[in-house]
Amino acid sequence: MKLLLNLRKRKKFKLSEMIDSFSNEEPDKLISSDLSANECFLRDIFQQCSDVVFRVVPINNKTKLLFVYIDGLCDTKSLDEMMLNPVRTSEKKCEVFIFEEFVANQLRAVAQIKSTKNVNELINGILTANVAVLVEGETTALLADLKGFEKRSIEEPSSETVIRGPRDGFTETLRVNTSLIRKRIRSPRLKIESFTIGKLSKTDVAVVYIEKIASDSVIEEVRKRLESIEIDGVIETGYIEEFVEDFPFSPFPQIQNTERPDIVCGSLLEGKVSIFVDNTPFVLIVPMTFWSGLQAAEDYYERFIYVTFIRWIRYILFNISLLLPSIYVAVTTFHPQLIPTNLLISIASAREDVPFPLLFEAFMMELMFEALREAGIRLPKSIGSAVSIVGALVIGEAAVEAGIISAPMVIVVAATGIASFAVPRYNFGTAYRLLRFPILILAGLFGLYGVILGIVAILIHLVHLQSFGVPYLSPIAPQNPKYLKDVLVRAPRWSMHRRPIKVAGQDKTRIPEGRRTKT
Amino acid sequence: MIKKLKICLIILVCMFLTTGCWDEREINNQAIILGWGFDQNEDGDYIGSAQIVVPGEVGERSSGQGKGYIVETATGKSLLDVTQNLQRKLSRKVFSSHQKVIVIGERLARNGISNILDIYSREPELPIRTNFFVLKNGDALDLLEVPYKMEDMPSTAAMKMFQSTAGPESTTFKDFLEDASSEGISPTLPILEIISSKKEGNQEKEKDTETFRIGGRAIFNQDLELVGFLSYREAVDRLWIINKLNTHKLTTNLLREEGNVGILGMNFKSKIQPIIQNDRVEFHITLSGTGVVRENNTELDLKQPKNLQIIERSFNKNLQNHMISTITKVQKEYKTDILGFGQSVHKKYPRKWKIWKKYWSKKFSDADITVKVDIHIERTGVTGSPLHLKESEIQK
Repeated sequence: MKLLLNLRKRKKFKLSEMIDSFSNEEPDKLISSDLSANECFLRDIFQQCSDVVFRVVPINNKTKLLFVYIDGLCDTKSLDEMMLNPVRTSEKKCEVFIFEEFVANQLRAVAQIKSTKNVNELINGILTANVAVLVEGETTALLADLKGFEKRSIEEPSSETVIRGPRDGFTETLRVNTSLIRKRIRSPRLKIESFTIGKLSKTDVAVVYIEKIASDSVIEEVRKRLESIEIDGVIETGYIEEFVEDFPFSPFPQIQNTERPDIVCGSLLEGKVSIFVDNTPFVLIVPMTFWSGLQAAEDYYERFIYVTFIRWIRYILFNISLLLPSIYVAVTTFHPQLIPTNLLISIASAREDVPFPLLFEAFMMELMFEALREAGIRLPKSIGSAVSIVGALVIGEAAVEAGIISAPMVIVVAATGIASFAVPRYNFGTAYRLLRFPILILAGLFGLYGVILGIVAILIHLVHLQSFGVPYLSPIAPQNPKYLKDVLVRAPRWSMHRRPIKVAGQDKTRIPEGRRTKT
Repeated sequence: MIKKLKICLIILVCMFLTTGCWDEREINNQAIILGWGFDQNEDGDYIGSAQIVVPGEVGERSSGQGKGYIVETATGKSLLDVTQNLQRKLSRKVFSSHQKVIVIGERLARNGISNILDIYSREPELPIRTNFFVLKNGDALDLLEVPYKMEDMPSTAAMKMFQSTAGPESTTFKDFLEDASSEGISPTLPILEIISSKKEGNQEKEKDTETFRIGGRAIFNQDLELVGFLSYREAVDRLWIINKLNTHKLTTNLLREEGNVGILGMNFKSKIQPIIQNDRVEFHITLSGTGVVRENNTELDLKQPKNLQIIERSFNKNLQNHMISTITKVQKEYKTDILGFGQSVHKKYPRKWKIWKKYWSKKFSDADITVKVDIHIERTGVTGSPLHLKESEIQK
């Protein structure tokens, strides 16, 4: 493990060197007063960048303005309407310094304005969808924030659907995403800290938390870990996740991800910290516990009695998805005395024609099931139904009839598959999907003894895991009865007085005691 | 670091490749034994017969081909020897954890079964909770070959039959061991009987019309030799005395009137009071129970309390007579205390018991017994008098 870590470090080091060589040799170069020189310089920088637009607009044949922006990223329509038309039609014969003020005022009406003298800052501004305005004879350039690119509209996230609850989901635009949060929590205490990560991609990353509700130590830790990331580009939250998680080699995700703003808001109110990344609808939430992997958004919208029942169903199915094939293999090959006689006879008669050992059979079926699942995800929707038909027919019917697979094994694998879909967080379910195979081998080699060994190993690992200072299994291990109201049961909302995670900040009370009005 | 990883990998690979799965056994390679029969031949060797599932035939049984099981036998000096010899006939490994019944032939039972018991508690594969039966008038092998239509496997039929008739008393091997090893009570086992259920006009297939049923109890003495049998009805009396009777349907004729009444008896209780006077022991047995009238084939109107008293009196008298005859049979004919009287003496007169326990069977058969039965009828069912009777016929 250490070896791999070293490897990673070494790679990172090389990468940063490489990136450094790309950046400008003169970081502090200033804008010159000669407009054409500036234009030459910028054209040189943006060589072969066909999407960068240079527009020189002469005013009064004397003063020239240079607009530089990236086509498609900026709102050219409002630029034209609000800026260029008034400037061109302006009858005023202004002096240059007045003129610059005039331009700034015009722009200020539609956009946020920043002025800069530094070339690097100017280039960065252009790349982050600002319109750069350079004026003849001036060493100060204006950067107008006229972002206007195509956005996906807010839709219901397809990966996390609910029956009851809000149907909006995050989009690929960071600002839209933060606005969805701000819309829900209208407090100045909701903080959105900005970071830029990625030497080339310069991706906007935002750390969102509620002051005094999230613990300072966790926020500080998130900041520290984000700042230490050195990478060329960040495409998805997964990039960030792998850098900041505590145990990269664990099969269990230690950072929750979601597409739903209501889940993020709920987590923020619980004292968690979320990390937004531009260009992806997925948002990271830290710290994550084992139990939050088994909680769905709807748990908090439906009535608590039903939810408690559903949670238990989920816990049972979750264990089935991990253990059922292994227990079946272990019991039938090592401990057939545990099976009720009639069942044993049916299993024996079903397996009579099967030429393979049970373990092999189980492996084959599990692999086929995983293959079906993978094929179902990747295939275009129109072919998806073909896969399910072929899968159901070939694996379900024909294989049993041909005597290659026994019917009980099909039932076991199907039950396992259904159970694994009951895990509400997809990436949490995958951990158990993965662990099913080693346990299956253990079961085939050592029987129930092996299964127990596997479970013990998993438990030891889980107890050892931490996510941003929070033990993964808390509040069950280490046990803290105060926080148990949202784990094995879902207590009624009015009785959950405290924030459920131990690391929350000073403001620990959610609902004042004794405030529920009984009618 | 790399070296360590390599070592780990090598160990792991060795673990996979060089060790066998020592305990692993595929279900298709098991000969699942459901029923086991024990007999003894003239030479004193044991004959074991096993009812073994044929899994391939189980599914086809419904279509009429194959029985779903085979019966194989083997002889040997001991049970282990028998199993070893049986294995030589079987292509699959003997697997006896799912034995449902163990049947002991009458001849073996009379010779004593103490020599075959130890393996059941020592061998881990053999379940200690198997049901034991004694086959009256026959060899265990005969029973295992009797087909039974209602269940897939005849062995499970025997077990289920017993469960549905005998109430709570189990006769697993464990219970037998407990009785055999304790003082003051002798062990018993339930009986299976092969009977002919031949229907009239269908006499070609002699074998097919054989079936079996649950009989009473087989009585064993302290040396675990069979001494005699109780009938099914007598076995019920025994259960009542040892306080293990749960519910039982009792029918009796009325003493003075005509007809009979059937009740569903419940809450059976018994109390055994030993009284020692002048080195003679006397037992006062008080039996009580409640009943619900389920059948009334008399002309009595049960709405009248006095009529209920008539019924209660008849029950008490008749049950008492039957009970005394059962106890006398056990006392005088078999001289074996299967009723736990010795245990009651042990509890009440521990000092006396120490002296008596060596010749308890003699003391037991000499004891005086008085029985008092008290049945209380609580409910009379939905109707008072039988509905088919005319008003004038009903005796109020």
